[in-house]
Amino acid sequence: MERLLFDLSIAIERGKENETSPYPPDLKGKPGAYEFTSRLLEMNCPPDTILKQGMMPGMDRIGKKFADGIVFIPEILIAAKAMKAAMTLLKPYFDNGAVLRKGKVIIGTVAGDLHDIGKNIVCMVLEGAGWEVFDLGVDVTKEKFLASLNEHPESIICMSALLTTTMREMEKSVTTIKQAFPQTKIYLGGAPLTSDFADKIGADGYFPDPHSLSKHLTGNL
Amino acid sequence: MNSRERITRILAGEKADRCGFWLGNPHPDSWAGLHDYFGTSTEEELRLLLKDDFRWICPWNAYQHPEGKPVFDMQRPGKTLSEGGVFADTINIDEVESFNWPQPEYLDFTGYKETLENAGDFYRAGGLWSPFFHEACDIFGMENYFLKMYTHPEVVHAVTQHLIDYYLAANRLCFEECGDLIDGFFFGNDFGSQHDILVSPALFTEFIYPYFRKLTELGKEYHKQIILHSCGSIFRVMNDLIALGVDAFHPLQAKAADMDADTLKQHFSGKVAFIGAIDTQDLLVNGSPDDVIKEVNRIKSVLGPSVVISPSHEALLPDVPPRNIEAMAKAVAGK
Ligand code: B12
Repeated sequence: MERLLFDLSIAIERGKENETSPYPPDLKGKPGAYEFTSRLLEMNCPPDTILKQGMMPGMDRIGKKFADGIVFIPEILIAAKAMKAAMTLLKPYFDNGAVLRKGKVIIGTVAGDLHDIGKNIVCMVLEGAGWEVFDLGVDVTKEKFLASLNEHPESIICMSALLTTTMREMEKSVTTIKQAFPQTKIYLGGAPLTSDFADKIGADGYFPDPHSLSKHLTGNL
Repeated sequence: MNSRERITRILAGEKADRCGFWLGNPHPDSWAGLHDYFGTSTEEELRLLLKDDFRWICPWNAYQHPEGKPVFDMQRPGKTLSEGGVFADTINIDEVESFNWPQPEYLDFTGYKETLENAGDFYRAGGLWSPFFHEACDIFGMENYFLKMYTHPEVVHAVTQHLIDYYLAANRLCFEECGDLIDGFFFGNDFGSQHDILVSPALFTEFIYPYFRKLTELGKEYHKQIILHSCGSIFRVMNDLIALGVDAFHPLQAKAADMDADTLKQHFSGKVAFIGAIDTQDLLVNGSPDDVIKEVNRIKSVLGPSVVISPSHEALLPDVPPRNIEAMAKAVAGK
């Protein structure tokens, strides 16, 4: 079982989705994340163990390599794709409560801003780290953040902005959210941002990449 | 020395009387504020006032399909790059081949030629923008494009080949008709994020360089200086791009990783010219005119003489106070 969990983590890290997927070429015809997960389930491995000891370590390793500049966007996308395929097998266990996520995260690119690749990668890494992520998309107004927070009041909020003009929008959103939900943690990221800026507008932190945010969130649990 | 000679010499790595200046191409939302501050009413009037040496003249309207179709009919439902276009789910080359690719015969450069003829003694950066990498992002969806580099490389190659074939044919027609009026072939692709290149060097070698090289070769065939626009941190691939024929990089996003003037000087000085470098992520937005003047002088001393001072993104946003633009322009000519 240990061995299979390790193989699963490698399949995810390397982006091997299933047996028929052509990538990576050296694993052609070999089982992928989907097959390893289904074998583990057949062997009655607890789904929680599959998630935490098989999937999450794979995503964590690729996320760290991405943060360190060893791999790039395509490699993280393909790992996330493999993870997603394997996750479909765990869905029933999430639904019946056999597997618990770490918590909820609401995320969006702020109003006026259409840049979303970075935000999407944050979603993938956080999902891969065991969080339930509600992605509100791009051009998200403070009203939309609030509405989602009303639905999931225990969530953490993550905002992305890539433009100096929309950083200002962030300030308004943070103020509004903190007024209505003073306890809610708000984290920021995106090209022009800095920790100073996050402090100045009353957010709880800035992270340059999703891996460092994920480490911080897990540390806070 | 007129502006045209000045920039031509700077980009060729030769001595000029001063460094160059390009205002950039302010975002549509910024013009009202600029005209208001400078008391101008047309774009050209403002450029003359600021002693702008550079004119970016792109044949945006040359493609005239009889039914008004766009050059690439991407069929994307939304407006973000990650949204999938017509090839979002394509895994088969036949589908790529049967797509309605643009026909160069619909190109008409008459209006473009007229604009160039009236451009005055300014450097003319032209040719088609030719952003094949971005267009591949659009037509697949950015995430699909990157994934297919691994899962369906043959599909990515087939699409890129069509994109580049069009740009080669179109630019050839353009240079045949208007070549004498154009000084630099200015084309763009954003290859970088704030921290690094978007795809690995190995994927650059496989999916970008072979096509990129064809564009630079075409430009060289028509004796154009090659100016590449790429936002973000492209430090890792700049040597390769220089070897592939780039004469000047634009816009040098000052705050992106390894794109600051000192690093650029250390690694690329004497090999290539620079256009841009005046930070739009903090300095031009939040700094004072004095800060801007100091920085322009610093950039001149670090990257000069092979530098054309310009914002680190040409689409100046409305949050940049016009007084900072004034300071930037004035500092160019000053000692
Ligand atoms: C690709 C791109 C585009 C694409 C967008 C594609 C898309 N769907 O996202 C297009 C072409 C559409 C575009 C449009 C524009 N862009 Co643009 N764009 C870029 C570019 C080159 C790369 C951005 C990117 O995708 N990076 C890749 C991802 C993976 O990185 P990332 O977004 O930074 O995210 C990472 C981290 O920041 C972090 N992160 C991000 N969000 C969050 C959130 C949290 C909570 C956390 C923890 C972490 C985190 O994690 C991610 C993964 O590591 C940047 C250059 C740059 N320096 O970033 C310019 C850039 C952002 N764009 C810029 C501009 C000016 C524009 C336009 C205004 C241009 C125009 N002519 O209109 C428009 C604005 C459109 C709009 N309203 O939003 C400027 C902004 C300058 C400024 N003053 O702020 C930049 C900086 C370029 C430059 N030379 O200066 N752009």
